[in-house]
Amino acid sequence: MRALSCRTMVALGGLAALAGGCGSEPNPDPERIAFASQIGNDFAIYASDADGSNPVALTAVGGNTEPDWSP
Amino acid sequence: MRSDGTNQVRLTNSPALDFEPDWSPDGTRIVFTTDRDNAGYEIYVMNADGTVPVRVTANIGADFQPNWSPDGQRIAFQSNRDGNLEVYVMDADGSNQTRLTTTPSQQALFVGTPVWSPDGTRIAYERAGRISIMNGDGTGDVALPPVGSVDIDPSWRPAAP
Repeated sequence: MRALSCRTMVALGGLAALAGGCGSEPNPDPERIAFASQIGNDFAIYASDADGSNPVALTAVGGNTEPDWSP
Repeated sequence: MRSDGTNQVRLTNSPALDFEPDWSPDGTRIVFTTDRDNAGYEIYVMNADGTVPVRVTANIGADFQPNWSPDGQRIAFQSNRDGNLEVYVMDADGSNQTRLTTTPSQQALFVGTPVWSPDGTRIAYERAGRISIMNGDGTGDVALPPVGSVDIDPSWRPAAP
């Protein structure tokens, strides 16, 4: 069966759309927040989406705090 | 100074501590914290060349960690004027100072380091070792899930041009 587009599935019914994973496509440009996290006894820089999902360590642990982004 | 470190120019000349500078988005002014008035930490705004420093907070508590909104109209900051640390906002001239967070006074929690979202609608800040995000009027406060045993110093990624 040919895969239905999300728009088609939404038109057919919300449950079908959800079952097909519609709405879960990754946002190509999510809002991100960097911060310092204490891991053990010291800090590392992390960044996550603004809802807290997808946290990624950007530095090793070791005195890393107060991150700032380039414009 | 320039981004390569040259042309460093001293902008303040008080014998007190002047710290936590933040540029206005249009680059014409700088907000900073000072204890020059022997009144605890207070927030000042000056021109980017250091002229015309204007005190924009005045109370018995400490007002500090100022952060300019993306539209240049408002400044978020933290203050313990009501007995414990909370996040506040004010207009850039110091008017309309409004408390956004409400922490029970018996809880000596660290609440502060507010930073505006790039679209100016929300503020991320630290509450008791966690990053929280609220709307610019203090509603809709949500704590982000923990990453470390303590999460501090939030900084929004600028919006894509």
